[in-house]
Amino acid sequence: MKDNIQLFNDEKQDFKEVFRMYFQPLCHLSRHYLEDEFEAKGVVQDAFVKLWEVRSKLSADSNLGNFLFTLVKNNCLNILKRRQIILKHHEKIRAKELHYQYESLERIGDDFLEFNELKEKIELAVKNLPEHCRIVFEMSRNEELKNREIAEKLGVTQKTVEAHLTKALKILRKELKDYLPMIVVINEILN
Amino acid sequence: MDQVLITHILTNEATPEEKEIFYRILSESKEEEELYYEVKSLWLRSSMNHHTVDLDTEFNLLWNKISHPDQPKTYLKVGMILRFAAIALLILGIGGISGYLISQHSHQDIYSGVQKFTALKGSVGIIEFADGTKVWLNSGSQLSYHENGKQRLSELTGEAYFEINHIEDSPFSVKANQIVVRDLGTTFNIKAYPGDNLIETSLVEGKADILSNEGNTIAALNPGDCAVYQLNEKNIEIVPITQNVMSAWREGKFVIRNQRLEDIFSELSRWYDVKFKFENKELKDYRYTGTIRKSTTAQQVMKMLKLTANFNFRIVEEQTGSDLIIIY
Repeated sequence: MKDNIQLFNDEKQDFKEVFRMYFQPLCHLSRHYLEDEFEAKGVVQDAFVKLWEVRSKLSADSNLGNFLFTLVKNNCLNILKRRQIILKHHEKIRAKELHYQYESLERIGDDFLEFNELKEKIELAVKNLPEHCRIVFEMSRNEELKNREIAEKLGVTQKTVEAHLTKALKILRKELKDYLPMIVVINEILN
Repeated sequence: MDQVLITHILTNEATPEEKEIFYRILSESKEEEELYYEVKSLWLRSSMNHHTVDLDTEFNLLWNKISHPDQPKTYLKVGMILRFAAIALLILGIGGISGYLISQHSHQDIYSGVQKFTALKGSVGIIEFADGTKVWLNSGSQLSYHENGKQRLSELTGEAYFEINHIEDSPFSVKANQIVVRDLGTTFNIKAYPGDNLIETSLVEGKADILSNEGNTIAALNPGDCAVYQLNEKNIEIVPITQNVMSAWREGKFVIRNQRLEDIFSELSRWYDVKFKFENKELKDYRYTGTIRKSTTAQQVMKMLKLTANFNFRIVEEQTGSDLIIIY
């Protein structure tokens, strides 16, 4: 894996290489928490602009992924905080929602960008889901279809779709329990 | 914790009641809270490599920003079109997804200082100028911009929402067909699609003047005013702003208020890149009120309208150009 690229001999080319490696996963992260395509892309774009600006100050062994991740994460956290502040007082549920979004993002570690064992395990676990479960899960996660849309496409009820998703989650937790320490606790509570 | 409940939360389909229950559980139990974070993290990480972005285009946008730091920033609401394309392609059989993504980038041509921005069908663009001015450009609209001395001059075809950073000695003006709107510290919306006989200017904040092309003041707007200019009759009428209508398109919704079916369809065709044809002319005048999310597919919108308006439709796929929907 090419992580710590020496910045920047052929500056633009190397920069593009870094971009290719990190843009998509960073967008995935910011979209997940900001739930707004514009803002999400803006945040990631800004992080790369910053990286470009400080390129001369970076040493050869700087962890660029970490640098970008930290910028993106902090900017997203700030945006979530700001959204909480401008909420009107009757929007209590939305405030809670934002609070838990914030707390959840806060816990995402900088291993997020690493192409590690966990990522492979998750991919494998998804691949090994029972067929129907996997189809529904992938439609939901990869195609970002609503439960109702999945139901329509497959000609099943929305309840069935939900049941598949719930089952998929349950299996994934179980399969990955050694990799996500807290999942063990979940299974103990649930089963 | 209830597993179905957590699935609803993760897929963003929980009702307000379910959310309330869910967040109460989290606030009462530290364990449940941490467990939720883990499941959410799993959910996040389980689809890491699937969101399609066109990296070359994204890089060009970034590089453009880096090499011209003073130029306006532009973003595009790609998410909305993606959702539409993914589903609608199946239904209407329009082109390929990649074709869609590539063709909807707003481009900046820098000739003699004139910058042009285009939001193609199915996308809403945001332009942020270096002076802090922000413009939302609706689907199918075009804005050109240049500076002449201290004057900030723009020209609009279609619909745009302006948040102008007012600079005392540097006026911002928008030319739309026969009229010119001059800001006096302002947030406003202009709707001037070719083919429409009207230009609507709605003032949200501040003050704005409407001038004729010759530079004579025709109207002075106050917040809450909507000026409706008739191109043929060349007259102007001030009516109150219809709430929500202006902001809705920026949030990806069509708001329809007692509009004729024909006008609704002309709006829909701007978004969905389909054409409509009435076989039964009487249907044109049917009036409808409602809100439609733009992420809904054309097919679903048609079904919804069909329910109340009592018409039938069929889709004629075209090899080249937009598909045709016939109403009968």
